[in-house]
Amino acid sequence: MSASRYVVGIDLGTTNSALAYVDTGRGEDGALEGMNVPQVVHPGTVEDRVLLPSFSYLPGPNELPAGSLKLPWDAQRDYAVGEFARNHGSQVPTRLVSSAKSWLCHAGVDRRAPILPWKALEGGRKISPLQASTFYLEHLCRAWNYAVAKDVATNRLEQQDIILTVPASFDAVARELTVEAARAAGLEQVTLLEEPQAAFYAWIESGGEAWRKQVEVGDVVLVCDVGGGTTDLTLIAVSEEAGNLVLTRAAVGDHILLGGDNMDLALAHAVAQALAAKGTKLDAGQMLTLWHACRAAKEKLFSDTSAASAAVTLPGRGSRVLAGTIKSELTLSEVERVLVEGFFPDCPPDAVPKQQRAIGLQELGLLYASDPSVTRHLAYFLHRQAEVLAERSPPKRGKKKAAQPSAVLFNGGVFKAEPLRERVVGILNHWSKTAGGGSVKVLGGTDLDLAVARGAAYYGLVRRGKGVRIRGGTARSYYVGVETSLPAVPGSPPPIKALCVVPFGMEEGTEADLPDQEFGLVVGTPAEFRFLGSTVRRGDAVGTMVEDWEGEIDELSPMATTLDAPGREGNTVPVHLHSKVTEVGTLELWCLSRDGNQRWKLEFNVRESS
Amino acid sequence: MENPVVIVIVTIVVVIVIRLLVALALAGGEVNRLGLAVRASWRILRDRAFGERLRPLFQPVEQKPAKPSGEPLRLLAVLQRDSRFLDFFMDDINAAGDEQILAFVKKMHPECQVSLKDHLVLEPVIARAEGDTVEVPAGFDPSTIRLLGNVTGQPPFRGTLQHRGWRVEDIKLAPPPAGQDEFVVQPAEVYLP
Repeated sequence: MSASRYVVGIDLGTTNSALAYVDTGRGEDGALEGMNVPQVVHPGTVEDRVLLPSFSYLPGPNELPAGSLKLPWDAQRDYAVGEFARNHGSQVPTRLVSSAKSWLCHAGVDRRAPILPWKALEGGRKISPLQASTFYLEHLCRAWNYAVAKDVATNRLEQQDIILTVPASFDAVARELTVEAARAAGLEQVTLLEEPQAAFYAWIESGGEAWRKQVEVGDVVLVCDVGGGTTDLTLIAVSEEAGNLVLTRAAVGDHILLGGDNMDLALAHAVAQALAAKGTKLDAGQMLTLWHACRAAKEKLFSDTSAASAAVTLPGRGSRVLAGTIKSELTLSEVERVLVEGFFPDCPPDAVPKQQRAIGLQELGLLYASDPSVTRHLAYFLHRQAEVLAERSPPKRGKKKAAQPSAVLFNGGVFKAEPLRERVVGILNHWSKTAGGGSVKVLGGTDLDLAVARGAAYYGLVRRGKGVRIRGGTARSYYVGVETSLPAVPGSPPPIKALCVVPFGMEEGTEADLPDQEFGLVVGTPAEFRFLGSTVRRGDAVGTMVEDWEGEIDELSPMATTLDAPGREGNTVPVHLHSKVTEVGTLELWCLSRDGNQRWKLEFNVRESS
Repeated sequence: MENPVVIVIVTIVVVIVIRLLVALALAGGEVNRLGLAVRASWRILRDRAFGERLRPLFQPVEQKPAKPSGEPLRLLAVLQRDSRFLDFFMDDINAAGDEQILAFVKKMHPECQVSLKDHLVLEPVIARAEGDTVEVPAGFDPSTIRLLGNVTGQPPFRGTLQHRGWRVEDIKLAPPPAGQDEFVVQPAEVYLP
């Protein structure tokens, strides 16, 4: 297949999506560009925006005037995606689909079942997390075909090489579902890339060759990505091979549902409390307005260094706008207290995020981080990856090994705020010095909103041989559960051992075989394998059997298959496992018959775990 | 002359001549138009399709009481949507506290400015600093420049620019969606508990 003219990066974000591309048809002039995304911003009004808010609004019949959701490429559209969906939906939570991406990696729900909006009432329109992701990708695809490809068939997005980003913390199941959403949107030529890596590529791209001077062999770069809804942490190590700098993604963190939206909401609560103390109570609608007003006030305070406070004004809800107006203000010191102390508190390097285990029945919903402190999550991540840090950073002359990152790259809209960057750098410096290291370098110069999409497009060029590639492979090691021969105890499932089927860092396009461990599968009946993954066990080779894995390996969605061998129903067939990491970046597990002539693919079973 | 036949014939001829004269007078003396009228009337009789095309001209459309265009309301709708413009001006300002008014206006003002800049391309009529001495040329358009003070004699005039003026160079107001009643600049809002 010949290389496509465009190389496209898509950032399918939790709260915002974006698309960037390079037009290789323009030779050396082909610079990275972002695509403005036409979207409904008010009923009946379509305008271009740099970002596509990842929200869907599913109106009921005759709820909006006819033609309100019309797009230049779809006059019959009966749902909205983007700015209007987000803004209007914030007042109609029963119709709004938000955080679809977080649901996509939620193992507790059936991600192909129509469960969103989560707050939808009985009988309301619902879609699956997979469908919602498809909506956003489809919107970007149609927008591209309308605005960029126009009438040229070979320029359509379906024909281009696409790099689609996913959180580094996405496990094999969520990655598989993301590719499925892309296929449903008509995008077949997709390759997955971890978001923090994309941010790192954007940083490399932003400075031309200058990056080679800013990092040195032995550096371990922490990519600290705090977006609207999630926090994603990654370590990238710089080493040397035959005189060339080599970049390796050494570790990734767990999925943390904590981001900028939580922070703005915390500010809104602080203002609401101050108002309540003065006797003004806010209703739910005013609370939402306050949330947005606080975001605006925060941005003003953090960008205008001379301002000590910003007004927060809530106009009256009804037509008597003046009498109902509520006035308050946010001072810089209050914003710093709530955000810096609340979300980025100083903490020691061995801090552990607070775990609040709900007693009894926990309401099913998104598993928001129970500790709002980004810095404690960071400490915990670095602590868990201490081994990697220690082995990656060689001791400098006279100094002892500092098991701490030596550089940091920020990503995500939250870090537009300088005080927050400063706080993280301050804490990292403190940890580094405590461990005997030096100051942490800050790598900057990227557009925090668009870096991921831009970096993804740049990675598309890297795949074509232009520029340095970050090595990494799978960010986890994967296991299947093998039942132990212990007697079952009533009420608790028999303990399982974890058999490693994919080692940590298994490269895309490689395969592994496990001929020694055979399983007997019964023809015609569904066979299910428990499937597990770990971000910390990096030494396990294919075939390693781990007996005691509690705390290090997490259970994911099971994988299942049905052996179809006509005429042999009921027979037991001995099979062994064969694993494969595809070029796309997804994981495949196969059952192979003993002679190798028959094979059955295991599929993820993303239904609610019982 | 007593012959009734002669009288009838003469009368008919006279009537025809009078009609032709009246027709000519109606045509403003233009013989061409008279000719066209005659040709048209013959063609209407000969050519059914031609007649049908003309018919609507003779059947005045039922005059509905004309509803004015909603187009002038589009900017008002935008200002109301983005900054509660209509609510503000229709509210009783004397009933509100100074602090509330100040807080609201400080919030509304930048929002209105953004809306105006987004939807109108505004330019000064005279792109000079106010206070500058400017010349008003002969043959100036009095709808664009208003003369004040000791106005006398003929242009060109020289004077001090007191107000630069505003000119709307372009209007960027898209029509509302097909199903939107353009006369509703703010829908009623009903909250379902």
